[in-house]
Amino acid sequence: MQPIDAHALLSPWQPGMLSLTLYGVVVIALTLAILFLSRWLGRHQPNDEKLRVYESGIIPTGQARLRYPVPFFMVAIFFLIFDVEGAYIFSWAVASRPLGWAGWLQIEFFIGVLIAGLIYVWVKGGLEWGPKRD
Amino acid sequence: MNWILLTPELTLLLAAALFLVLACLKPDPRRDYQLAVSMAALTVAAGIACATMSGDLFNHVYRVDLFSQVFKALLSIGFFLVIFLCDDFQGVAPTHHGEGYFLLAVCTLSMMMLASAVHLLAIVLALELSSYSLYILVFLRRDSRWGMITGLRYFLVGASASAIMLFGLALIYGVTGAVHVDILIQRLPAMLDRPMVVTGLLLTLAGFFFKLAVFPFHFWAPEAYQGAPNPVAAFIAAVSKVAAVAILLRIISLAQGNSDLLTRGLIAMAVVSMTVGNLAAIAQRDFKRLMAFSSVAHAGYLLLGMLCMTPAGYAAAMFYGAAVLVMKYTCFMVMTRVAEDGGNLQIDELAGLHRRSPLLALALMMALFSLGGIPPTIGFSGKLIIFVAAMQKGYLVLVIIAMINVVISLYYYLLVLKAAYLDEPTRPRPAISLTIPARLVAVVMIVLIVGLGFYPVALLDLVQAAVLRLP
Repeated sequence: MQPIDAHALLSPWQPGMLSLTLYGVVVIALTLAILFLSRWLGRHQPNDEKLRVYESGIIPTGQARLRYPVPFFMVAIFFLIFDVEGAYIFSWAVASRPLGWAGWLQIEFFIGVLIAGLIYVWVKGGLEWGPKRD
Repeated sequence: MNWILLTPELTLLLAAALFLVLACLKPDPRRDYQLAVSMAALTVAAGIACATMSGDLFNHVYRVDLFSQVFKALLSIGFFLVIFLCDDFQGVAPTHHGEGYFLLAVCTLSMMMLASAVHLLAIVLALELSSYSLYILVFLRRDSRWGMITGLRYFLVGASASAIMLFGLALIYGVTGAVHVDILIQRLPAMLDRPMVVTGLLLTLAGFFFKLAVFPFHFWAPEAYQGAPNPVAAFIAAVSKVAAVAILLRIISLAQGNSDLLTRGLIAMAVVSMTVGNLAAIAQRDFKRLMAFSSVAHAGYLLLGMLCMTPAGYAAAMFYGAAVLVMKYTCFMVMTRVAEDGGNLQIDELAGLHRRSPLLALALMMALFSLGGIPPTIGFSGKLIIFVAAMQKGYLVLVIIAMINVVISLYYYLLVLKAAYLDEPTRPRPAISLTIPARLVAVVMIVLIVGLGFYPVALLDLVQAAVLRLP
């Protein structure tokens, strides 16, 4: 692996301290001023319709504290794993020709490990959805 | 590329693949155990056979030299010993034994990679792999009261330590523009007076200090030891420390002994680590918690050797790493055999051990004497070598503090011994029956502890030759 020269990669980023501070102060002051003015000048007339949970116009039903089924999380995690691994395979695919057969073998090994993981998940019933079969 | 250099790793990879297949089949603890032990024995053979090889692999990211190979041999021996202990794997549900062996194999494999990696990214990768295997291993405890809580805590603390370490690595890379150890060695010494470099090095070391359980990063240790299944606790206490020593030596040697700031940081950690570990251990009633705090104290002794930043100091730390493997394993072996149904062991429950199993009581006595530094044991020679190395650098006060700590530690080790030899049990317990191989391992451990105490020269020569490979 080639060492990477930092100076070529990272541009020298040196913000002017004064302008940065000034900008920060202005942002905070403006935000506070707007919040204060709207509270001071506006009138408060709360009613049921206004206080209702906002659900894009749909009338909310029931509570938000539901118990999600576990398979939902399992599938989400498995998806995440295989999705991220997909990103690695894409990055190999971009450079597949210069990497040659050695690179191909390595990515094959990688995919093999992934498939082993998938088989394990499958055998252990991680992909079962719904009530348990006996 | 010379694949023969990779024989120990490939053997372990094969073993891991086999254990994964076992995990998918119908569980059969006897068959799984026998297969696991034979694969572990094969790994030991490979580890020892490759001990003198050297070469570079994977575009110089992976270095095989005497330094890494000695550590690999130690790791494979530790792996075998822990797997051997798994005939008493009752802390884990029988359906999960395959996974347990698999994770132990993967963890050992990644620790071997840690010993050989000379590229910062490879080091991070190996460290993360070994940490994640350990988190899940702690989780495997059958008793969910222990496994779940401690696994989660261990994971949270470990993830924070990893984040801190990554930040440190980013600082080092930002300053030097290098990620390969060989280039860092050329560039770092000239920059060691910069606060950013020292901060980066210390933060990087934090990740490895977490593995070794040095003082500000030790909070996971008592919980994890107590919550883990007994053989896994033995693995964390004995084997993972060896890997931590390997990588710490690799990183600390980067400074090449001329960083005053770094030395001061290490001295502070070593002193606090010893003292906190030993004082906290006095109050413990649970055997594994006591061993955890004793691990914290031993991490302090190990740091004392490393912070000398001389070949003698590195050799002393390496020798003591091997000693910790032997001593801690022996303690945990006795604990696993005595504890009922893979549960935790209170120190009172050791009462009458000398009648229930004289051999185990003797092994426990030798291991505790060794931990406490009483001659002629391996722990005594190890401490002696460390103190001599520190004296050569003129750290007299540090050595005195360490000696006071050794005396404090004797108190609680002897309390355990008193429970095993002098106390009468409250209710009569049956004798502990050991299989012939189990007896054999106990005898071998006793012989190792005493033998290397009398005759440390062979091991010392080996580690002295090994640390010469460091810069």
